[in-house]
Amino acid sequence: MQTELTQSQLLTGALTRLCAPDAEQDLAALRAWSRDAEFLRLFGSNPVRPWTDAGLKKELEEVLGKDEPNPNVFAFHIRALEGDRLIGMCDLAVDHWAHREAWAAIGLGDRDYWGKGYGTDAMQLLLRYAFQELNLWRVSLGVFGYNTRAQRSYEKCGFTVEGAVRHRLRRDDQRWDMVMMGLLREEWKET
Amino acid sequence: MTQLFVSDHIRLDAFDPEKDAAVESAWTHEAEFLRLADLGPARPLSPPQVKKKYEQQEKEADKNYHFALRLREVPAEGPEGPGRLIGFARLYWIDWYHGAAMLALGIAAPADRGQGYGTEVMGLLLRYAFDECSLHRLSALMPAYNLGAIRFFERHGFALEVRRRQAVARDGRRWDALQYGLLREEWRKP
Repeated sequence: MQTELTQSQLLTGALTRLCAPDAEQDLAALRAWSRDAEFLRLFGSNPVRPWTDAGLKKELEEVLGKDEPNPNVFAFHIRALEGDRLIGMCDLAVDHWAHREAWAAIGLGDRDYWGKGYGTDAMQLLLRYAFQELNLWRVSLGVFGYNTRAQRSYEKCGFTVEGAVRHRLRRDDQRWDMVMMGLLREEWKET
Repeated sequence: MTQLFVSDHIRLDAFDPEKDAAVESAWTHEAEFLRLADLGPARPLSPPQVKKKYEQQEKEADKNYHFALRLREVPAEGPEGPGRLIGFARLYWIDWYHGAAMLALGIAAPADRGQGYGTEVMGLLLRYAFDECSLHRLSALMPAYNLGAIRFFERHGFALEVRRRQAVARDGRRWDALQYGLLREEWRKP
């Protein structure tokens, strides 16, 4: 079909694609990730615990919306293009549309894909979605002080450190900052 | 016996849905106050809508502690009366596991501001957060145009931690959103 829109492959990048989370089909992978304490501590701040299948499904349903899609949260699962393997998840959450800001989160549960550019590729897709599809003004995120690999990936995507919430986290009897990063629409460079 | 909820002029109290809904509904019709107190779009609420909000707050009572600010009756003879409602205060998004929470307070009527009430409330809130809830740190969020709040939090020892550039759109221009923080060890106990 002919179109003057330039972005017909909005959800597909160089290494990954974003797709709809599917509680049934994706459950085995989610279950495995929810038993990897290292991953959970990089991805979330709640106390780590192995999730039941019912809990995983309920959590996903809450994010996606029960009867109709949640209008303020855009959640995706990430698949590697090669083999179409499910490797992670990401989302954008909008607090107030009036300010055109969203909070981004991303996690690669599949450790085989860490440190190889897959997360950066998926984040770039998420940013393109934020700026080209949702027409946002800025994207924010928080990254744990001990997650330097993620921080480097976000910097590669153009994010700037905007400050740190000091001592926000307590892990292994130590206090860690939550590093806050932001990217403005005018700073974003499509890759 | 420690009195956590009273200072010279102020009492921290629970909201009374029957009596307070009409007063808070009036606040929501003052756009200036709303724009100072909250980043969400200003939106007037009817008393029944406010009542519903109070009911909703009950459901998240573990994560969000809401206080009604009441002016103590002077002179206070016998059991104190309910006192006039002048504003709100809250500890919210309390993350018990990591010992962190957000803090907010607002005094609605301009005539009630500049009387030192805010300072009394802050004293009560900080003691409550650190001594009663055993929290490790507090954050406060404000738009960069709220100069009064910036001065207020700096005066109480809070430090600027995060500047979310251009995060607030109002009146056709962009403002930064500021986040201030106070650690338990920085708190100047009275």
